[in-house]
Amino acid sequence: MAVIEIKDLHKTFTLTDGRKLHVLNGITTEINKGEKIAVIGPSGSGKSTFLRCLNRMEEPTSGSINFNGEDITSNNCDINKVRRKMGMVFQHFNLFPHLTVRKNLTLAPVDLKIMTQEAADERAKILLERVGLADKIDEWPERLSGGQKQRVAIARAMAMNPDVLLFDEPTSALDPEMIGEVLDVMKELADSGMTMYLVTHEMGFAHKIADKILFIDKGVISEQGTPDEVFDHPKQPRTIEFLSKVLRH
Amino acid sequence: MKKFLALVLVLILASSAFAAENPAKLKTTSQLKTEKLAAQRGTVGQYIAEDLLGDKKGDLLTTYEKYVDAVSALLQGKVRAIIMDEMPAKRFIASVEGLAIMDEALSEENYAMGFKKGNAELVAQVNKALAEIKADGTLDKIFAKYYETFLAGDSSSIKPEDIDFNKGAKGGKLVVGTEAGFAPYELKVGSGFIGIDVEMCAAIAKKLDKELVIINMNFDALPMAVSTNKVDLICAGITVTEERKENMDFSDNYVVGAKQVALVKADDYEK
Amino acid sequence: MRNNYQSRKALSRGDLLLGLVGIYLIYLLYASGFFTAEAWADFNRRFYQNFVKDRRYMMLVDGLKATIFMTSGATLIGLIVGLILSVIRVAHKGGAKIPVLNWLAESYITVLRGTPAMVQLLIWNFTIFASARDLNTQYIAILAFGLNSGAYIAEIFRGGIEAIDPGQMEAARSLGLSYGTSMKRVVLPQALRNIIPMLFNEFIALLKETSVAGYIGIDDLTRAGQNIQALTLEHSQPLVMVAIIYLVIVMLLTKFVSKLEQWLSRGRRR
Ligand SMILES: Nc1ncnc2c1ncn2[C@@H]1O[C@H](COP(=O)(O)OP(=O)(O)OP(=O)(O)O)[C@@H](O)[C@H]1O
Ligand SMILES: [Mg+2]
Repeated sequence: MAVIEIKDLHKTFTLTDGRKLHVLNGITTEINKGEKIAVIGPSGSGKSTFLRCLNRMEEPTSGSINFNGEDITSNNCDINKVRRKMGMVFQHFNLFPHLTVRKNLTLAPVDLKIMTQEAADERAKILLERVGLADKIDEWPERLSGGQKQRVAIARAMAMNPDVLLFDEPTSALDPEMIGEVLDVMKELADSGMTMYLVTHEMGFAHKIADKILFIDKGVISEQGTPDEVFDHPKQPRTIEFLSKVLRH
Repeated sequence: MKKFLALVLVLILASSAFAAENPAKLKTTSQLKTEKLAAQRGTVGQYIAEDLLGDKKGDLLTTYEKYVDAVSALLQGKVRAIIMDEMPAKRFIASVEGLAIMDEALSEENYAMGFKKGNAELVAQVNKALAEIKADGTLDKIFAKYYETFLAGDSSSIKPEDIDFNKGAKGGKLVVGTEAGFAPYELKVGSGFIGIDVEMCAAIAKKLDKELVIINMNFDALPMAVSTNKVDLICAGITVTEERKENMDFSDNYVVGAKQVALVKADDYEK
Repeated sequence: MRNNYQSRKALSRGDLLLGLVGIYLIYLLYASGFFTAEAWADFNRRFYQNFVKDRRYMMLVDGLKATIFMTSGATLIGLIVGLILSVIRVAHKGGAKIPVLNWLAESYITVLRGTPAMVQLLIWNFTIFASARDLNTQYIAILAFGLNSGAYIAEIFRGGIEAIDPGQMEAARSLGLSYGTSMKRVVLPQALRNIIPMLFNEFIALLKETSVAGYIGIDDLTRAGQNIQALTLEHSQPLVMVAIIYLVIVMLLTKFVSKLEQWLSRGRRR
């Protein structure tokens, strides 16, 4: 069953000088329960914009997005409710620096009256255990390393018990020696059956965990398939060119 | 704290450190036409100084918000003379050493209270009251009291609490605007006011069965205050001039022939 | 204010300069005969006349009360106005459809920051409230200074909020929190760290700004000094005393603000 169905998604930015920038030019795809999809493509091709449209961090210009059967682009959709079920992990972590790790995880569930503080604390403990940071529960974010911050951010995204997790280049702001610990956590999530949308430049990791690769170029999906198909037998010249560039080193 | 100390010293010194010498002494007021002069902003002294200086007023005339500032400029040699009313000038002579008034008066003026243009009713009431206190000697007594004290250098024997402001009068309030830096006409003492104008207004308020309220502002804000009804009348040793009559109505005069004089440094004046 | 690192150095250039200025001033005082017994006695006599005789220091105390009353009242109004204006402007930028309100807020800020506070004070007193005679003039001053400072405080709030990484708002929204809750629970608590010290600076600026209130008939601290001048015909001492009082208050506040800043930024690193 499809968790998210995207039909003919367009996004146009109006620049300050009035020019229009067509970033997404008709994307149609879907993600099924438990599926892991990796989105790759050249810089500026619209990968982040696409991901951000999925929970309407960015307003799509046209097209439809169905989440669990509900059209979330319609006016009478309560987007705040939808977002609870779509966790998001950012390139720069975006932890709340004025709150402890515990509060970072419990702020939303408690404020939205989904859990009591006690229940949320309990869940925070379990989630931190899962990302290997149980001992940091009362720590301030600034005192954590980059890798630890991103693991806390993943735990925070899980705090509302989402149906899908959206990742936008979760490791590209990290020092190389910290990438592994974050990827390990993501691998564990993938193995546990989480539905995941992942924009990444980590081709090896994408190859290892993804069920499907989307290659986005100039705002359209120009090639898609299993990792084997896309990485080992790419058909489009743009894909071949892109892969030869990123895999060379 | 060191910074603080240095600053205090600078401030104290700045006002007294540098004074210039001037060779040729003043003899007649006609010499003033080419000298640096001072006056309080918006007063008749300023207009007389402007007439004296003609085109050169832009370079030679400095106007001050307060008389004390002008006197201090005079003592420091920044200006050669202050054009002002004789009575307050005499008070300066009595209290500050080294000042003199040039014998020759520059003009003679009449003082009156100012009203919003067209406020004939209040002008008539005040004129009637003024006539009464002139007739029964009240006004003369007030003048005499200040001549004996202020112009003799005694500034503490008159207390504001001794002046009857007719508090709680049934006829409402008489709001008077003044600039309380013009002794012996008006002066702020503690949280109250004293002065010839103040006591005269108190006597008039009493006649009108009103409570006197004094509002103390800058002299050049007074015409604005009376024309916008902020105050009922202004009383601050105001000279009656034709120009002012165009914008303001005046009461009858309560001082006639007040002289405008030049206040100079004693050692700069040769009789 | 100097920090620990600097004060541990033996002698800074500032100290040296201050020392030289001090020596020069003492020399000037000496040369002008300040250290003679007569000069000292004269200084004391004038001091007695200006501040002690007839309890004249009470004029300064009353003036100070007026100054502090006006400054505090104006800051309070400024906070309320500033909060409303900045909410409008920030919400507009955050996508709320309030073009007219935003235009009004922007115009308000432009006009009140673009004209001298003194001119605004005169307009409020002599034009807008011309007929409100029984109203205490101090309230008019509070209103005038408060509305003026509201424009500055609005910009302080807005600047403080916009200095927070937009990623904070996004992260909060991505968890399903509403715009208002995200603002309240995530953005504002962080923005306040920058905002609070700046508000105290605004208070300090306002404290000095109210010294023009004498113009509309309020005997504030500055005016109290001038009233003593008129009384004693003494030029320097009353004004120097007034300057010292302002300076002491401002220095105390400045010290407090820098302590506060330290404390606020320590909270973040804990
Ligand atoms: N808010 C915006 N306003 C205007 N243009 C934007 C905005 N956000 C993105 N863009 C533009 O849209 C295009 C696609 O941006 P996007 O961030 O989606 O690319 P990307 O594929 O994620 O690239 P990268 O790999 O560098 O992250 C870029 O040209 C970018 O400059
Ligand atoms: Mg991107």
